Amino acid sequence: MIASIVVALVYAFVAALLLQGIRRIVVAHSQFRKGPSIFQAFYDFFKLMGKESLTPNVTSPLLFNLAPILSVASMLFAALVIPLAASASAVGAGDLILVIYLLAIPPIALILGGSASGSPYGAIGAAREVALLIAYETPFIVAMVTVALAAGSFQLTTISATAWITVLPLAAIAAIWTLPAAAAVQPFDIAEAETEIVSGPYVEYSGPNLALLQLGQWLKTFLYASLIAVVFFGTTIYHFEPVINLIIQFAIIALLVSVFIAFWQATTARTRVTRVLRYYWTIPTMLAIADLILYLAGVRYMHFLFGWAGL
Amino acid sequence: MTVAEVNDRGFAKLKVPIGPSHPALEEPARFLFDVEGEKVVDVDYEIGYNHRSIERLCQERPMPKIVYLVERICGICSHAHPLNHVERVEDIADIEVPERAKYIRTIYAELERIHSHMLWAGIAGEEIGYHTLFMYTWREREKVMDLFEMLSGNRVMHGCNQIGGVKWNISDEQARSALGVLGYLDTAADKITKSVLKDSSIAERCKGVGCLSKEDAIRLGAVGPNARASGVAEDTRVMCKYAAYGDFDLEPQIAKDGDVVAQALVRLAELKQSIGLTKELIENLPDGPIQVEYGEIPPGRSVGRVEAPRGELIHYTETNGTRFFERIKIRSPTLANIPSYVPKFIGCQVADIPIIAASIDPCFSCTDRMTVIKDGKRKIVSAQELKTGRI
Amino acid sequence: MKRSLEDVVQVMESSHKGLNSYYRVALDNLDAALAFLKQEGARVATITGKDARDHLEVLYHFAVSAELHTVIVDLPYDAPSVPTITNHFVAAVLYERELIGLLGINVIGIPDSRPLELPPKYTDPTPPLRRV
Repeated sequence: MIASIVVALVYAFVAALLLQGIRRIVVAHSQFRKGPSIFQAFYDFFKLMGKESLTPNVTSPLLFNLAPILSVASMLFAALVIPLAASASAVGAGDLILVIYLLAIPPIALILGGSASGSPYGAIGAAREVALLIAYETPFIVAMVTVALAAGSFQLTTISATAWITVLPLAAIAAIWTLPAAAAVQPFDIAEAETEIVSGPYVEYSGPNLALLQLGQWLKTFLYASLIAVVFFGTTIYHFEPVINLIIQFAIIALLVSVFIAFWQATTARTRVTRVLRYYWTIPTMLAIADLILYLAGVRYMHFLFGWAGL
Repeated sequence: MTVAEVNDRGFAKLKVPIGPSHPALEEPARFLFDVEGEKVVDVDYEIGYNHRSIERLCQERPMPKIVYLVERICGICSHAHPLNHVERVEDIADIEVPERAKYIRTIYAELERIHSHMLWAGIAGEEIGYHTLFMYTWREREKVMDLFEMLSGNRVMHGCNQIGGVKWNISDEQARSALGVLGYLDTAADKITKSVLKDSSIAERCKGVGCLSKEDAIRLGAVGPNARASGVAEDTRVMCKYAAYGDFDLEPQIAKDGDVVAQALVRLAELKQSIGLTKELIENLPDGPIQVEYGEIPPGRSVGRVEAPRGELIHYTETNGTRFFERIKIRSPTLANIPSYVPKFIGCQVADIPIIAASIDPCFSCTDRMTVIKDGKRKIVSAQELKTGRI
Repeated sequence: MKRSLEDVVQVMESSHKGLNSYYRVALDNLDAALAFLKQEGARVATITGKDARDHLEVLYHFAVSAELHTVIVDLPYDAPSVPTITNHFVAAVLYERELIGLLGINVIGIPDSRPLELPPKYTDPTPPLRRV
């Protein structure tokens, strides 16, 4: 149990940072560039850990310094609860609702930190993060709840026994559609839009505080993609050695991220915060709700279309 | 700064500073926006961060140095300023510049326009978060900079203009090479235009943003592509026919709406026009000398205009028969365009601030040349004050 | 321009060269000259302030399509003041503020009289562009 906890934490840390490197390299190649080293996120993280953390003269230094810790702690906990590449998670069982709540904590930490930073950029960034969070969580939660309904349980071990993309593809599309917003990249990097509000909530952070805040965001991107991979692609393919399992799962996630995050990032401009809500609450949410309604009505259209393939 | 006030609809009232050091600005200037929620209700601005007391220095340095001094006013318009300057001196001293020199000057001017508009396209993309457009346009722009390096030895600050002619000749081999690059740039310009105008995320961010009506453009004295984007059909190259422009048929490129998309349309159309014009210039380059001898510069004065990439650049030059200039006055296009910021900013969203700031292609280096600043304090010019300057 | 400025306003001296015309007028005739130019469709290109060693000069440069017409007024060193032209030409406000800041000319009636590009606590009594 201790061993699996340690493995899960180390894997989550390494994978999250490697994922950032992969994302940046894919984006760079779309722009005729070579991009940074794949370990760039590691270099950034450890460099920042070695610097000094300054707290600005704000009314609540507690909240300001608490935000990064909250962000990382919640994500490390989530890494233990999601069954990363195995039929059980590191602590044995895992609840979907718990994971959804945990995944919402890094944005909330960002909002707290941005509001507590005493800068107008932080305040505007925090407000935008609120709008973004409400926007993309909606289709995501509806999709996840649909899957739980179909699986009959909120336990992740039960859910991940089936590859739900083969039964609820519309919900899968809705969930994958929210990936760029969860990763906070173009077109949805509005909370930390450099050219508009410098770095938004991050602007007053430095040193280990900044390193942890960023780490929380990177872990969230990785675990969000992991959750989608685990729920919609299942863990039934992972019957090899644990290390091989981790590598396979990481490969799937890297593919998801490269196509749906990096490529999208390279080919769009930043959108406006007033549009994001409308964007996510229309088609993605409707897709997720459609699958929910169809499932409740007993229409197993995937079985109807592909039943001959033995799904 | 705490968010203490809320307006009557519940939106927080904030004062958001942009600058002097901010990723949205290429050069330092300070804007202070009164923001309610995401909407800008008022703007203060302040310029003067790039003061280098150039006009004062022009009176105190001997004449041969002034061409170099004037060249260093701005990196992007580094040909327009000395071009205007030498044309003024040639006007005062009645120096007749050979045809070949005029053509070479025009070639440099058009190449500068090409690289400046590509730079603008990249910066505009960067401001709306579209980093790929920035990388792509600047990659193509490198071809122009390599061309400059081949022709004059430098990417910017070419040192090409002299009183009475130009310093660097263009050999046949260089001309052939340049035509090849221009052919490539023609295709690249088409690709850039297509990707900017057909992209839905760009259209979503730029359409209807930062509108300037034609009446406001004329009344506030806007110049260059900024004015042409609002429908004002004035182009100094067409109107004044300086250098070699008299031999060519040019039309001012105009757009109607005055928003950021119109600015893009005008600049991209000018980019294409300049590429075609440069090809014609190189193909029809006349033979002959590139420099004439001249004597003393008599006392006199001249005022004249040149179309820099950002608009109409005007120099007033006065000589008094000594080896120093009596007075040189430079009004760069961005100073004329700054008042047009006010109608563009009021009513926009915070997300639109960087793209509107970049849309007039500001060059604060050209604008702040004049004062010797003795202490570091700055002052804010309020939009209210600009607004009450109107009738 | 259809008519010349000299036909409309009393001009003390004038010179023409190519597309440039220069007219020196007395301060009292400035307003009439401006009204005429505005009627002819001129726009203000820029305003130059000059220290001419025994007096100050303000040169208003107007563009009428390809032509540039310059109206020159002379001002004394002590308490130089000139009325604003923003009544006719709104765009001149920044150029007049340069006159205030750099040459210490008092522009009467300008809506914003703060010197352009000077720091707020500029204490040197000599404006930067004056010859000392």
